[in-house]
Amino acid sequence: MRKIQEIYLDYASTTPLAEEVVAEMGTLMNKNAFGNPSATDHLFGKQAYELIENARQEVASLINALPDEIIWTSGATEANNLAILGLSRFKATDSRRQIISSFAEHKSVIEPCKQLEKEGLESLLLSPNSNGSIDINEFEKAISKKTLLVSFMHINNEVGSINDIKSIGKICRKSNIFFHVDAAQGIGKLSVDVKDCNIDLMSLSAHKIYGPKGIGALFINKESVGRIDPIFSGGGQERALRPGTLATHQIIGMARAYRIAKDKMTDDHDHLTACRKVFLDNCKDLRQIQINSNSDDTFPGILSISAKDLHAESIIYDMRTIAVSRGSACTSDNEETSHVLKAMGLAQDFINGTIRFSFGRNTTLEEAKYASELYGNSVNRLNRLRGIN
Amino acid sequence: MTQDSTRHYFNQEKHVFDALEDDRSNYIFGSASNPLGMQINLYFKVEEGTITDAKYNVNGCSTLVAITAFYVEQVIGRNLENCTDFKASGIHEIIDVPKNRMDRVLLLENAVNACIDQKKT
Repeated sequence: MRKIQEIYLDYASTTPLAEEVVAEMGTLMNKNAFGNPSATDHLFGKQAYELIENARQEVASLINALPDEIIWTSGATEANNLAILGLSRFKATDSRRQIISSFAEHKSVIEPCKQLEKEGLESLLLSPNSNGSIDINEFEKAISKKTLLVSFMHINNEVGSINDIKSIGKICRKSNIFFHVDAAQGIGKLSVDVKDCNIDLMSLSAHKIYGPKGIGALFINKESVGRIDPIFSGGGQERALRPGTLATHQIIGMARAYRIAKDKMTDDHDHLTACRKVFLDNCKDLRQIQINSNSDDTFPGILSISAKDLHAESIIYDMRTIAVSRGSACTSDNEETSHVLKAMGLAQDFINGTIRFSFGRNTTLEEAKYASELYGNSVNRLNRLRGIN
Repeated sequence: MTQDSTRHYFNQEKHVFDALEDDRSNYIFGSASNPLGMQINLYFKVEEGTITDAKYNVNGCSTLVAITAFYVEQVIGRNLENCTDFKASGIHEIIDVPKNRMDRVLLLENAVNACIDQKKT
């Protein structure tokens, strides 16, 4: 008999720390590296400074950026805010005041867009296609001479759809529009070359890729963007773009996680593909379910599945030995309907019954199979309860 | 204790109404739903004013499923006129009903009242 919530299938929400990350952070915290990395007049500060600069190099190398194009933040939410608010406030002109994004974005992108509207700028949110990604033709029609910034995520956190950031970047560069990518879910999972994809700003997270929580970064293209406005006031850290004493141990943990991700990216992807296949093969006979985003452009680690007319909370309650989410973790505490599924055009009777399974490096194929069996049993049982045989 | 009870009643299926096996004409029927898409269907078999059998179909959150199964088990043997005596406070002592889900108890009461109304007509 399995214990309650023994199997973790919520990797899109957060991941456990990789053993190597724990070891490196632990070692660091026991060493004399506690100095303030800005206090380089003494050895303690210098040691911390060097560790941070090495980490910056490590993180930059994963996306083919220069080290001084990486600005440390508290996570992707802050990086998204800094990118959108900071760039728009610094670069907007009377003729270029429009931000284009989509309804499928994380709230940390949508809310800053709304904030900028209050400041007199204009935002245009596009609807994703039924797969959850941006239609390139629709996007190209939407941009105009007044467009200043475009912000789209790489991998969607709720359904796993992948945006064609290379094509979007190409269009943006040709039209002289800044391009921001929220790569919180994509970083370390899919290869991204910021130069090749013409990306101007990119938000990065550590805890989605087996690194620590509370640390992330913003890539700011030195050549195409240069400066943006800070959103915090304080000391001059991070070229005065993000003041605040840097958390050395978190940064070291993030860099280590990124190095591991770089080495294991292909193996991880193959493993997640296998987990998804096992799950879907095992519940292919289940009636009245729908997979939200299930194409070649879907990240295999995120599986959004809807059961018609059922309620996700009761399915999750029934499958008590596995830990999964309703839609995105950020909205699972309330009854609010997923804005992403709604924007994808999913009918309400499917939205209510939507669960996100997300597989990770530690998920075994047996666990994926067990989860799909449990899911099928729960859906069938709850259908019996409502009088559907 | 209440969480254990919620779990227990969430897993009770013995009084689920099965359209293929149960003859609906033997039962009075009451239904209630809410804007979240949750629904309760209650079926009471009433003989000489006493509920001799009760069944349900339910679709909703775990709390709604548990309180419906619990109520149906409790109501058998009661007089139809007294079957609304078991109010929200009583259910709350047995089933873990979070404050933000108290409306589920009202939904159950609405379904019970719908049954009584059908008997009256």
